[in-house]
Amino acid sequence: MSKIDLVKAMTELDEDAVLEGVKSQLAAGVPAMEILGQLQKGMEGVGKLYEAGDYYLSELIMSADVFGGAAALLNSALTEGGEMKTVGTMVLGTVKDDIHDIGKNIVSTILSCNGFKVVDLGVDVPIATFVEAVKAHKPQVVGMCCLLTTAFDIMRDTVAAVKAADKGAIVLVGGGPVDANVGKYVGADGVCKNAYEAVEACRKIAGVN
Amino acid sequence: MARDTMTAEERIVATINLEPVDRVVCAPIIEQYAGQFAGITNKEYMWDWEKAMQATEKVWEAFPVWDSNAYMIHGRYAPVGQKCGPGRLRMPGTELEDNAQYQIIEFEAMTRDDYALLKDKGFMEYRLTFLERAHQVSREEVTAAQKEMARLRQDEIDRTLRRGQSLTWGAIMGVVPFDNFSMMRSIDKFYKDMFQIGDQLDELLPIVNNATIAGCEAVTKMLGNNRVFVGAVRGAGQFISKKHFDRFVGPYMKILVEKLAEKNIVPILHCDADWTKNLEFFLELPKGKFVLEVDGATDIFKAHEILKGHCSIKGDVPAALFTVASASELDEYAKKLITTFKNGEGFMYSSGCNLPMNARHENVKAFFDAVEKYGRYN
Repeated sequence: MSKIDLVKAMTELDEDAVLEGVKSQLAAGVPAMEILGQLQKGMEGVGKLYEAGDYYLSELIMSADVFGGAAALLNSALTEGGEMKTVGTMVLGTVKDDIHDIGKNIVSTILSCNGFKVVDLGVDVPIATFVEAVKAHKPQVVGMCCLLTTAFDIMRDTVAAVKAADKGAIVLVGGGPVDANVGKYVGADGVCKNAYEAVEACRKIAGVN
Repeated sequence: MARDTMTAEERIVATINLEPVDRVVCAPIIEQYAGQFAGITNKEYMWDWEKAMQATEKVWEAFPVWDSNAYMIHGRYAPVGQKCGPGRLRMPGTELEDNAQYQIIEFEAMTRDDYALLKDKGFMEYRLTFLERAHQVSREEVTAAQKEMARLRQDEIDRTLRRGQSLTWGAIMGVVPFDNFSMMRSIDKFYKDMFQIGDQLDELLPIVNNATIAGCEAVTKMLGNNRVFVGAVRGAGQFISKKHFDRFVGPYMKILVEKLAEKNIVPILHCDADWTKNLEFFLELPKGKFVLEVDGATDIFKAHEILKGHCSIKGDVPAALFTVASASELDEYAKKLITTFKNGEGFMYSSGCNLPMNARHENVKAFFDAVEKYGRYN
């Protein structure tokens, strides 16, 4: 049986090949971190195709699913091998009074695939929870999402509270109706239209080349 | 000030037919903003039908230039919306604070195994099963709520006509088949189905499309109005590739519009999200037989470039202009929007999807004022 090119299979969203490839490499004794690296490289390929306009949200959702399934196979092996190396930390959540999670979940997965530790606070997140998380995790970036226009004011209050708690905090916002006008209104440092804009912004902020 | 020389109904019909009008059709979707305008909480608006209708009346009294009512509330009104609405709803005053906006919780109420059930029972029967699960109620409660919703719809229609407004649509017929599945399965699960079991979808999408067409025919006969709302979001070029659009979305939308055109039914294709990449597709649909409604995400100026003279376009003052921009910024956009379209090019001036509940009142005033300032042709 020919060896499966895990990077290519991941980039092409070939779920069966990805899972088979991970299993066979684990069986052959390839270190879990090395397999994870191949999956992440495949996700970088997904990102490039997304940026080029060849992949869309549906491909991102599919890639997150395939990556998640493959990473689950690696879980125990990764734990045995110690902590994963991360390039930065983001505290992320959908602001209070808004329960939408699809966009947030995609951002969380794509950032994780790109080596960031994501502290996902969930949806309908109270201001105090954001503040506590920022104090506890000292993230390079705080990400806030919302889909409701009625959450703009809460988002503004949350940004202000986070910045009051940590003057150096950098806050990125996103979500369906969030544009540059809204970003300015809520006092954010940047607006991300999609998950890959978030990756790019976070890499810059974290000083990753 | 020039006076109207057409009735609201004449104006909307002429606009759909791409004929000249006396002034631009003004057709925002007012919905929950009405409660805020009237000074009641959203709990009162969503749970007290009479108060909701009076609030809508107040908006019209303040801005009678609003001549076409794109009403939606009968399907969301809490007592019925929580039994037969489009999905599980969290409502102000119960699950949410008194003046919060209602929210739809999306989850996998329809499992992948249910595709076989739908194929076996037909869409309308399956839809009832879905509603039972989504709202955790009995079949009897679903059907009773649907009857009540129809009664409320008729009440919205009667009140609208009494004011001299036109009905932007007679009924909300739901969504195109792709979105129907996506909403029932949840977006991430359905996109996965698209990649993994596309062949099954090829079999099922026509079943849902045919049911939607039949539903449009039945409801237009019943209501005596030939316009229906048909929503579409998740098949937009913002979310899926052209390859997937050409397989799972476009063909069904085309059949739907063509079949309805044969029956003299005009679908208002309520296309939320960004359809800019799909604009050329709409040229494949029969000329002057549908309305493309966009919500601020699609580039409406590009839509004008590509589709002027082919179909009426409804839209699209974006939510951010109502909520966080100044009234003068909204006015500037409205001027550009209204004057881009020439008389006879089929423009309907509207909010991008719903007018936000938390719109600034001065911005809403600027929205309506723009009709007289820039949309008068006589």
